[in-house]
This record gives sequence, C-alpha cells and structure tokens, in this order.
Amino acid sequence: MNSVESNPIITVKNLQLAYGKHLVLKNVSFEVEQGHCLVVMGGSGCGKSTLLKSMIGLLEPIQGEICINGKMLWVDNSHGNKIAKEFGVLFQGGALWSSMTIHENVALPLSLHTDLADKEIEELVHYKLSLVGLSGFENFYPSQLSGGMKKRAGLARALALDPRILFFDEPSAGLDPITSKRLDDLITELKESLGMTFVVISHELASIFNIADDAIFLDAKLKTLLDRGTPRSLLDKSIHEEVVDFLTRNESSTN
Amino acid sequence: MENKSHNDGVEKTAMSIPGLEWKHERGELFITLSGRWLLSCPERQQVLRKWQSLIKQARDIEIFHISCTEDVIWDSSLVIFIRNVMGEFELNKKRATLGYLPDGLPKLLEISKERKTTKDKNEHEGLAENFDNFTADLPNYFARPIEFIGAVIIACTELVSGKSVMRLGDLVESARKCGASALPIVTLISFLTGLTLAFVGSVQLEKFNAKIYVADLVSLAMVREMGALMVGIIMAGRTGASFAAELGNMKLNEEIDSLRTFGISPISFLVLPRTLALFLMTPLLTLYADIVGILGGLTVGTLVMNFSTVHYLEQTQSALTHMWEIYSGVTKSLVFGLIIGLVGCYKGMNSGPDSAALGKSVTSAVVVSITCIIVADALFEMIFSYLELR
Repeated sequence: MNSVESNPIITVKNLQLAYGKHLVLKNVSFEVEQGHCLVVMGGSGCGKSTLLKSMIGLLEPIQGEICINGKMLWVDNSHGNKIAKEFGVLFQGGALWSSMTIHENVALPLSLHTDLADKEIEELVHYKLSLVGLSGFENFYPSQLSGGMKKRAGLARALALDPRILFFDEPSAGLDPITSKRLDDLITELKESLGMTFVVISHELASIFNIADDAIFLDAKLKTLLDRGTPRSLLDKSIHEEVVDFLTRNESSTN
Repeated sequence: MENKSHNDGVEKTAMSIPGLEWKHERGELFITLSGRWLLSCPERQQVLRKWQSLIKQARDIEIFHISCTEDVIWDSSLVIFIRNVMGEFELNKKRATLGYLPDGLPKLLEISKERKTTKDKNEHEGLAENFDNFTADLPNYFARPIEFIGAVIIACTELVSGKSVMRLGDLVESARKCGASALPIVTLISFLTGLTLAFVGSVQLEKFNAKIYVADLVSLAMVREMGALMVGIIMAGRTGASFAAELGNMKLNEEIDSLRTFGISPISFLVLPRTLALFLMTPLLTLYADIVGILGGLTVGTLVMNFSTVHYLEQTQSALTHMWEIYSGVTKSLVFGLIIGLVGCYKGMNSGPDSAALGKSVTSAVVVSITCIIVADALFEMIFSYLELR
C-alpha cells in the first residue's frame, strides 16, 4: 500500500478555476495514486465537471498546476499531444463522433496517433469493442445505439490508445440502475485487469461505493475541496456536515 | 386553482365579485378583502381602480392593516394584489401589517417576496454587470475571429507541410455535399436569373431596336456579377448554415471536446476540409451557374424574341471575347467560398451551450456570410474599376 501511495500519477496543486469573472474553484490540491480510482463528488454546481475539464486540458486554470504522469499540463504546449495520449476521457453522453461508425470512432485515434497497419488497427478495434461488450456493433452509427451502449462505445474509444489514466464524467448519468451497475463493474474489471488509474466525476453514491478507492468532496458554497478519504471513512469520520449529509442522503436513497 | 377558506359556507361562495372595503380608525386604515379574487373575474379591474383612488385619498395615512374575510375565494390574483400593495407601502416607507389571510396565502407571499427581492437585485446588478461584461468582452469580439483565422492559417501550413490530421476522405465528402449536391438548386436559380435578365433587358433594348444585345447583357451580367453572387447567396443559405449547425451540434454533444482530448485539432479535422471544399467548389459552381444563366437567356432569346440559337450564341461569344470577364467572376467566387466556409465554421465552433444558441448561430452564419459577400463584391468592383479592369 505504501509503495502505491508514494507514486502519484496525477498531482493537482492550488488549482483555481473560473469562467470569465465567475470563480468556480479555488485552492484545490490533491493527488491520485497510480492504479487507484478517485471519485470527485459533490452537489450540482460545485465544479466537478469544471475540474475535469481542466484536468483533461479543455479549461486553462487561472492559477495552480496539474501534473499528469510527470508532465505539466498547460505549462508547455508542446506536451499537448503526448499528454493527450496518456489519458482517455469518457464524456457524459459518450461524445461519439456522430458522422462515423463505432469502428471509425475507435479507429480514428489509432490511425492518427500510431503508425499501425490497417489490419492491426482493425484487430485492435475489435478487441477494444469486445472489452466493452460491443462486438458486432462495428458498423453501427452512434444514433443507432442506446445510451448505455454509447457510453460503452465511448469507453472503447477512450481505451483505444491504451492510456494509463481514464477520466469519466458522470458515467451513471441518464442510465437505468442495471446498466449503471454494469458500467461500474466494467470500470472495476478494467482497473483490476489493466491496472489503470481512474478519475470519476459522480454524485451517485451507489456508483461511488462500488468503484472508489478514494474520494474528494467539492463544496459549492466554499468553492473548494472540503474533504477527502475513502467513501466509507468520509461517511464515518468526516467532520464536515455537508459531506456527511451528502453521503447519508445518498446512502439512504441507495439502500 | 381556486382556494377557499376552511370555514366558508356554500351560500357565501355565491359572492361573485372581488370585494375591497376599508375604514379609518385613529389615523390608521383597515382594509378588508372579500368575495371572489379570481383571475377569471373581470370585475377585478374595477376593484384595482378603486384601490388606486383610495390610496390617493389616503396619502397622509402612515399605518395600514390588510386582512381577508374567512370566506374569500382566491387564486394568484389575490397573491399578486397583496404582494404589489405591500411592495408599494415598502417603497413609500409606510407601515403595513397583515391580519387574517387564508391558509397557504402567507406562505405564497413569503416565497414570492423572496423571489422578487432576488430578481430585483439581479435586475439592478444585471445592468451594470452586463455592461461590465460587454466592455470586458469587447476585445474578444475582435480577437476571437482573428484567433480563428490564425488557427486556420496554421492548419493550412500544417497541411502543406504534410503534418495535418485532415483526412482526404472528409474533404471529398464535404466537396460532394457542398458541390454536387447543390447542383439542382444552383441550376434552378441560375436559369431563372438568366431568364429574368433576358426579359428585363429585352423590354428596354427593344426601345432602341437593339434586341440582340440581350445576349451581351445576360452573358456579361452572369459571368461578371450574378453567377458568383447567386452561388454565394445559395451557398451561404445552404452550406454555410449547414456547417454552423453541424459544428454547433458537435460542440453541444462534446464531440469537439473529445477530439481535443485525443490531441486532434478541430480546426484541422473539421474546419479545414469544409472550408477548403467550399473554396474549391464555389468557383466550379459559379462557372456552371454562368453557363446555365446564359442558357436561361438563350431560352428567352429563341422562344420569345425569335433569335436563332446560333445567332444568339455567336452574340454571346462576341460579348465574352475577353476572358477576364469570366476570370473576374471566378476570382470573386473563390473569396465568397472562403468567406462562407470560415463564417459558417466560426459560428458553429463558437455556438452557445444550448439549442437556442445553436439556432442563433445558424441564423447569424447566414446573415454575416451574405453581408460579407455583398461587401466583398462591392470592394471587388471598386478595385476592378480603379485598376481599369472593367
């Protein structure tokens, strides 16, 4: 355990984020250990998705730093492409490219970022789609898939370049409890079998307790990170009423 | 929804109009509301007028007490009335107290008061804030388009140096969509334009017994001006709008964000093939429109004005002896294509986060494109005229 803890793959220091003049988050610092699943939780409007946007290079912080696998994000733009290959992102709605088939969606990052032959790319696409249980859907367009299938296809695409880190934006959003549970199980299986690091934005406790090794709680009023720990330790020991409230309310609804 | 006090009897609900009574006591005004305070009661307006005259008479009174009778039947109209009255008192620094009010009404007043305060605050702050945001954003209105054009230029240099992520297939597909697929509408509009020019010209030229010059008029007007302009306007409405909608929708669905996370430049991957396709297709469509427009003129010339086809075409040929006439239209169309492509893509890429904003972007793309095309056309004519190319 100690050896793992001493090896953070993501480091966020004194992060301050804003949309124009509207400050969203301030003084956010945390680390994510390699092979861990960190869940970012909090109520609506607390800045979870904003934090994710910044961590995946879509929103430049006004202050602070983000270090992914030893490379500083936003500091040196020449790292841009290299860092992009370090992680995959699963957006809330899957964000599949609608004009392309599922096969093309997964194949595109491979064809643009690798020198692999077409045949190898094809094999890889089949493999990635089979990992998420979508074999046979290669020639479907995103519009022909259900919400859960879109997310799984998005996951296959996020896995395309064998990233070490995966970011998820509310994977359970808009899914029924059974599909949501399947997606959680898939995350756990991938984490165990591929040893990947996960950062998951979520406010659904059932999902959080299923997948999280560690969790941070963002507070909308204070606009900062309020507490961190395992979901169970936060529930049992957190001194912050908001955290306990959040976990209790959700837990009771989960139960 | 009608609300009735708990204790009202059936016979009391027969009161069919809103009631407003008052009495003076020791310099204080006691107001009692009764009857049917319903939005569906037209008599409410009379009561409101009565209230206005009362409040004018009671200018010197400092303390007001408002209450309802137990049998009052009410809906939102009563809430609004009391809310407005209390607001007026507060504004005029008068003391006002609420006496008996039917169940539920005090809570509604409390909630709506809170909301009103918040809204008022936002309205006042909003004005200043909007102005503040506008001035702060002012440089962005100019900087963003320049930044966008800069990014497109960089993407073009990457394309030339072979480092671009643009796919040839996307360029071909975009060219098909904005080129070949536009042929039917371009044919129709150009043919009708040529036809109309011929009809208008024939009437005027007949007066000078110079009807055959209708061939000159149609051909020169089409190749110099109308071909490029009509194709530009069609492309702005058809393709420019489609680019804005397509890219705006991709932005809405986070597809553009997902491209960025893979280190794929949306400018190279999405904007470049579309803009290049339009840049290449517009001149071809313009040449095609020129020919179809001339054919429209030929139709009038042969069928209405009884010229022979050969005679008309020979006259057309003699009018177009200088190839520059054709080149000038094609040169314009190259710029028009570029304008439509860039404006459509820019509006799509900078579309807002909801479907209403998307609609606005599409409309804006068409309006801005057409305006820019007409401005560019005027500039071209001024330059050609200055350089004595006409």
